[in-house]
Amino acid sequence: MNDDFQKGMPRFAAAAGPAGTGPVSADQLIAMVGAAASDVSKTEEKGFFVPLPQSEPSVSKDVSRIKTIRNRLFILGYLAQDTGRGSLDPVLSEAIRAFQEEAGLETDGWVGEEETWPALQELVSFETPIDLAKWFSGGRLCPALRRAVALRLFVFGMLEKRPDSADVAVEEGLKTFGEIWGLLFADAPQTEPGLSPEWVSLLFDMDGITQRLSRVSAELGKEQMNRCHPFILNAAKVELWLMGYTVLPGGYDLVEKKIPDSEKNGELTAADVWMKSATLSQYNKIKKNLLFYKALHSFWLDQGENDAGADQKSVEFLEFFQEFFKAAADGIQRANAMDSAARQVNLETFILERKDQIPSIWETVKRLGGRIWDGVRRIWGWFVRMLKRVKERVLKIGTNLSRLIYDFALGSFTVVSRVFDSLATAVRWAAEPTLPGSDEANILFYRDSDNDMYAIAAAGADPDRVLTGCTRLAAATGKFAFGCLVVGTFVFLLRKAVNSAWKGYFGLVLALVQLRSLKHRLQELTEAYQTVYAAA
Amino acid sequence: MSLEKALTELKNAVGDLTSLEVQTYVGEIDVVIDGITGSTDFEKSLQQAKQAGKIQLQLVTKINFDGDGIVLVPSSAPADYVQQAHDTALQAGNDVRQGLISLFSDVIGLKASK
Repeated sequence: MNDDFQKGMPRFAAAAGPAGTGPVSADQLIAMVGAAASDVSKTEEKGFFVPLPQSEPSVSKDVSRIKTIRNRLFILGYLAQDTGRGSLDPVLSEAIRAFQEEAGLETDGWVGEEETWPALQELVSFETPIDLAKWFSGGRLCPALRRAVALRLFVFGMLEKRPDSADVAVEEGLKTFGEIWGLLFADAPQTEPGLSPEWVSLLFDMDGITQRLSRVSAELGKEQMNRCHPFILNAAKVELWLMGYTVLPGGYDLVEKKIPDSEKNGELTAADVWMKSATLSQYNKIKKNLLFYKALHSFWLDQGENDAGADQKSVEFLEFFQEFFKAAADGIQRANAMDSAARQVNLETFILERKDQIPSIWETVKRLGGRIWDGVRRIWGWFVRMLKRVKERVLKIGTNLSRLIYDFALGSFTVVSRVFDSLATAVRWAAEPTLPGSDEANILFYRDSDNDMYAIAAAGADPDRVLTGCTRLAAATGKFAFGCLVVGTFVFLLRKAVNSAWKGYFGLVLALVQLRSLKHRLQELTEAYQTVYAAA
Repeated sequence: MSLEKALTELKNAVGDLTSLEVQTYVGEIDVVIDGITGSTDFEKSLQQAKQAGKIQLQLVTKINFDGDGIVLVPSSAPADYVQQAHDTALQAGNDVRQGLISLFSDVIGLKASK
């Protein structure tokens, strides 16, 4: 990995020329653009950055993403087991088709960036907002959503097992959810708990749950706490997982790793603790051996508690749960309040000081699996807080920072690689005088040698056909402008990085992070990308 | 065609970026395409069509990128689709110009207002 990071981008490094970032000729720029396009595509082949393709690939190199997709389909009940394989095999492909069919998507057997991946994200991840209008289309509940509801209820301890079919019964679980909601919070909907958009939206709003748990004012008796505690504990587990601590949400890994010897005869398993069958006193017996306790302990230390304080707040978590959720909610608010420019500046400064740690990011990413694709917003809040606390910036690039840097750079990489794919076509027609949108019978769009434009509508033109031509021309020229903007900026940044100390893939990572740090262009890139690629 | 070849052709077709003029007509024009090279003599075809009265000028916009602009206001409003075609061509001309500046001026320091 270290060798590749030093030697990556070989064609571009040669084309970029000797040190210095002064003006270059148009011919040299063209050579650099061609070299960058070639090296970027090799980066994908090597698996450093692998955006999801728009259509089924013959071979996929993104092991981390495939493992995540496999795990998510397993926990939704589309696969009988999670083999952990990082390859696309017929069993996985069949499971993807089954999900696509239940979700009302095109059944192509691959999880692409446009539809299937966002759909999976909405149903499984805790941070991605869910578009209920889509899942309740025509007043009917989508079968894939029913499974996701069952999974969410299971994670929160309101169902005893994961979904295993589209007919999974969720009504009892929703009733329990409604009951707990009514005990804890004052804003329960007036309707009966059930498979309605009202209740499902509450179940899928992790931010909302965290904020409400930070403000619980109800005085709960022992019986009521017995009823509520699995929900509170499991919600805390989800928050800890999203924040990067070593713990898994219930349903993601059924069995905790440590069970006390006294309990190994089957009287109690760790899994029971998370299901409604466990009582508070049973939980109290084994909690110190659970990953959850250890994660909580780390959390309180990171909040500034000493060891004794962290221990107390972990052991007596149910006395301090509001304080926990308040800290978590504050982290979410910090992340939401931080503007994109601040993120880029902080991250860029941070990685510039730690070039030798960049290779470890990709090793970490391979290990992280599903967590690389969820909880990124909370990590920003964590990042800002840690920067303030650690005066001398001795933070190492560990798991959380790997997630941030990879997520950040991958966002830019996706844009860059898509643009390179389409740029040759866009550039080719821009050199032609007759422009896209022209049709013989209705409208001619023409560009002369001075870049002046002509539009000639036929005398009896069909207005609709003219307007169609206008739409095609607007999309084509918009794409062209966007592509040139991205490529021009990227090549400039990459040349600057490669000609300084950041050669090879180090230079690529830095250029990609910096690409998103140009404030005025970030907005252009985001808007242009969404408009142009949505319309095309 | 490779990206490098496409960019080379584009570079050779850059032309004048200091102003943008858009003319919109309604009528008929015969554009002759050379059977061997595929090239056209659009300016000649346009001139012939104007002289023959086959096309009528509807809208003109000229922008000098140092700040001045001229817009020809017609005596009667053109049809909506004609106005739309003109607006689209204006935006397209601007997009192509912006694209060229983005690609080349960042590195070779072309002076052009953005």
